[in-house]
Amino acid sequence: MENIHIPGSHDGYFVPTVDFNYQNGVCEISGESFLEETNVFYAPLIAWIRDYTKTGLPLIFNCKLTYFNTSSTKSLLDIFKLLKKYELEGGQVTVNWYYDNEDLDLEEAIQDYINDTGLTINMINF
Amino acid sequence: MTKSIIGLILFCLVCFRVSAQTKDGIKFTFTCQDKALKLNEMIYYSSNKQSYKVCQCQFFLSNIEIIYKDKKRKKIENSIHYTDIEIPKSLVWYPENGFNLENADSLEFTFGFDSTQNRSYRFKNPPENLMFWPDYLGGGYHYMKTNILYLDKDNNINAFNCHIGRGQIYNSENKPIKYIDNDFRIKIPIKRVDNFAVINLDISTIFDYPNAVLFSDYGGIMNNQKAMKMFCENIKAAFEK
Repeated sequence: MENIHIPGSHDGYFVPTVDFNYQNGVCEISGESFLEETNVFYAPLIAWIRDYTKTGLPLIFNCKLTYFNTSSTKSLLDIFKLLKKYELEGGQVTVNWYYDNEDLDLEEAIQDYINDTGLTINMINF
Repeated sequence: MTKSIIGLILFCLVCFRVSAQTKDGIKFTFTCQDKALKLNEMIYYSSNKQSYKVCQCQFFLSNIEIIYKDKKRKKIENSIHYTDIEIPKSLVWYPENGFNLENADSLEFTFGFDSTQNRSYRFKNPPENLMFWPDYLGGGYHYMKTNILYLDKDNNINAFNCHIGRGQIYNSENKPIKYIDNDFRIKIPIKRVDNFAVINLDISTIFDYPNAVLFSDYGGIMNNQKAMKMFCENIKAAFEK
């Protein structure tokens, strides 16, 4: 498997920074997500996680997104569902969401993900 | 001497006019199914295949901020803006203290008002005061009124009003025991046309995405918090489109 690195940008749309590392099993996504074609952007990330889960190795997912639009919300939900499925199959999954705890909208969104997927998401103020 | 004074006055007038024309502002536009909205024409179909026409759309936005490429923010002071699709002057807004769109990256605003701003009787005159939200439903003002007419399965015309404001939680005796502010923040990349940042609302998205609505499932929604929450998700997407 190859690592994924996508540099973030704010050029008309908001592209998040992505670092998925096969060697240490750490996946990180940060910045803001407001894309022209959300599915096209997230499909390879979801496919990468799906492939990684076949290895049975531990996976750490660090989310540092501070804003995401409605269609990104759906893609993130797909990722969290996939991680929950891996956990139920015996995979070791850690999900951390680094956020500003004064951002109540974001806090509510993270809680919604926890409720919708049953996944444990560690909410870390930073 | 007189000629010089007249010349000076004319020069000042021209300068003022040029300055007024180049001032940056915000323009509000409406689309439906990715094209410019046509009011009062039964030409639209929801994703649930119900035919409808859009009759009215009014909304409040507040706490508008411009975010620049260097991450600096410019908060537009006293920024509560009322938009009515049928009132042309409400579709172009030059904020009192002005702002500069150069190097602007994104625009952030509140749909409706936050709880401290949403006070009954703050607007004395129409059209804003006509947006009042009944006190028994929590008071304050509608954040949005979008009224449509649709054809039901028997081809009868029915009304559906998407009215959003403060929500309520009811007890077993159907009395409100708690009120919920349904306002939320939206951040969109700057879409600049000439000297305007454009805020577009795609009306069809309000009924289609991410929640597909069947108009006949609803009567009024002003006392239905679950429905208002769902429509708020769609309205967020409608501003993002």
